[in-house]
Amino acid sequence: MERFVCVNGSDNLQIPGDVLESLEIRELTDVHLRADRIVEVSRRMKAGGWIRLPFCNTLCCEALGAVPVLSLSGARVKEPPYRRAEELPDRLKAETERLTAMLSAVELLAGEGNCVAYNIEGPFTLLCSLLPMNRVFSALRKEEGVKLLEKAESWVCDYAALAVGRGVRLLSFADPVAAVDILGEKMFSSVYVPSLKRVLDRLRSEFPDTPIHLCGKLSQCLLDTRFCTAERRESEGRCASYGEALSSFCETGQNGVIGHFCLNYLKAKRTYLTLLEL
Amino acid sequence: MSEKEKLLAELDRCVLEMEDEAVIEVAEKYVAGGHDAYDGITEGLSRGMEKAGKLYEEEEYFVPELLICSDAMYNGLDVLKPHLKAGGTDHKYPVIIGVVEGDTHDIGKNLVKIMMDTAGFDVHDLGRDVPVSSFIEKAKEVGHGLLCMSTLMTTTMVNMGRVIDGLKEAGIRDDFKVMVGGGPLSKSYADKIGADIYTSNAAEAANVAKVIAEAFIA
Repeated sequence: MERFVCVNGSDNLQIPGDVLESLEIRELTDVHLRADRIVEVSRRMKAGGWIRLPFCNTLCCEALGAVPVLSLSGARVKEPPYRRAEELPDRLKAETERLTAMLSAVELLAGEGNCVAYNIEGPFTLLCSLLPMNRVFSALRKEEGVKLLEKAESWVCDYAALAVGRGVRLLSFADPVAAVDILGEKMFSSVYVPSLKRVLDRLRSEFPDTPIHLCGKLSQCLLDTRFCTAERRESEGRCASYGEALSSFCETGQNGVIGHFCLNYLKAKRTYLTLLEL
Repeated sequence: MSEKEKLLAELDRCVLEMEDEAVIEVAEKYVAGGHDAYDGITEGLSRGMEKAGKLYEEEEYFVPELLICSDAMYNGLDVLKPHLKAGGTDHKYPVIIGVVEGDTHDIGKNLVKIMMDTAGFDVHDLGRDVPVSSFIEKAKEVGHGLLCMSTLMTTTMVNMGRVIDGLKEAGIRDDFKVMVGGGPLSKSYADKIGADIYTSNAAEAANVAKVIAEAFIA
């Protein structure tokens, strides 16, 4: 199987300038706080039969206390809001203005019959957005690390539940901090992979009708460390793109983990999926 | 081995073995013994951090280990620094470092900062998502040295060129060597925006910085 190489460089889905221009979007509140405008933008960005939502990468962090800097080109958490692990909240505050708008947009789009893919971030990336990275890694080496990870895993699942409850068809899972070249094989294998497995098992059990698409970089790390096997699955029926192959898979009602490719290439002429078994 | 040598070796070991809590007690014992704080830093803490950096280069240590080693080093520094004798340190070559505006990925920048700190530079860390104007203001304040910028995103690379333009507009471009790095960058891109140096990893960045500082001092 060929190696997956990420050339995207960003985990943030950007709105193309021509979309902003044609919809006359000039205020950042339009793309962050107004469900109707988010819906319009997302419709324009539809690719391969799928709707993806821009700027949802920091919503979970915000619901956990982060204060993102908003702009027309995205949202980013400039500084971690907490200094110590003990300060982290147990639960998400789902009623933030931005998350409310985003979930309303998801509901509207899904209600129109669109296939909606929703990005969620894994426990390591969430933790490293909320706490200084050295504190996260220091805590993970100690006894307190077990509880810290359990808490982060619950955030991921609770956040996914909000999206699935609004009708998303596919969860797109990435955890950019959790790469072997960052963590090293030891921490990746002994700490991260068990955590990832717990999250994926829980997501699959709680949302049996919603497949999970694992980021290509993460998939490649799992393959490199032999924590997963990959199976090429040709799509059923005629598909012209990766997006259509995904839709076809979702229609079969199978609940699997797909990966080794990237949702930024939904229009790619790739008519097969790679199913992962962890 | 004298008591001082034993404690220096212990400071070194605490940093290398990520004993971020135990190092405080050792540093306190070292100070209480009346030993020179500057030696404690250079021959104890920094030595441990240099070894950690070497292990990172050799891919024995990774980002988590290096960050925890640096925590141990900084914890030890907190104890030793107040006991430094005035004028006991060499003049330090200044380094300004930050992740350019629009990007919050700071792993690489933090590693470079740690390595520069360890190498004895006077590091001014501007953090991440740093506006062009903040780089320029800090450069005016510091006056000369090495200005390091990083980014992981193609969409924010352009801000590196803007900082260089800002240095030119402020009339201080020649007072700084500009070093750039980060995932999507290359030597050709560095050349294109007028940077002086491109480095592909933290260890290389620190090594090149040492050469620049030595040339400046000479």
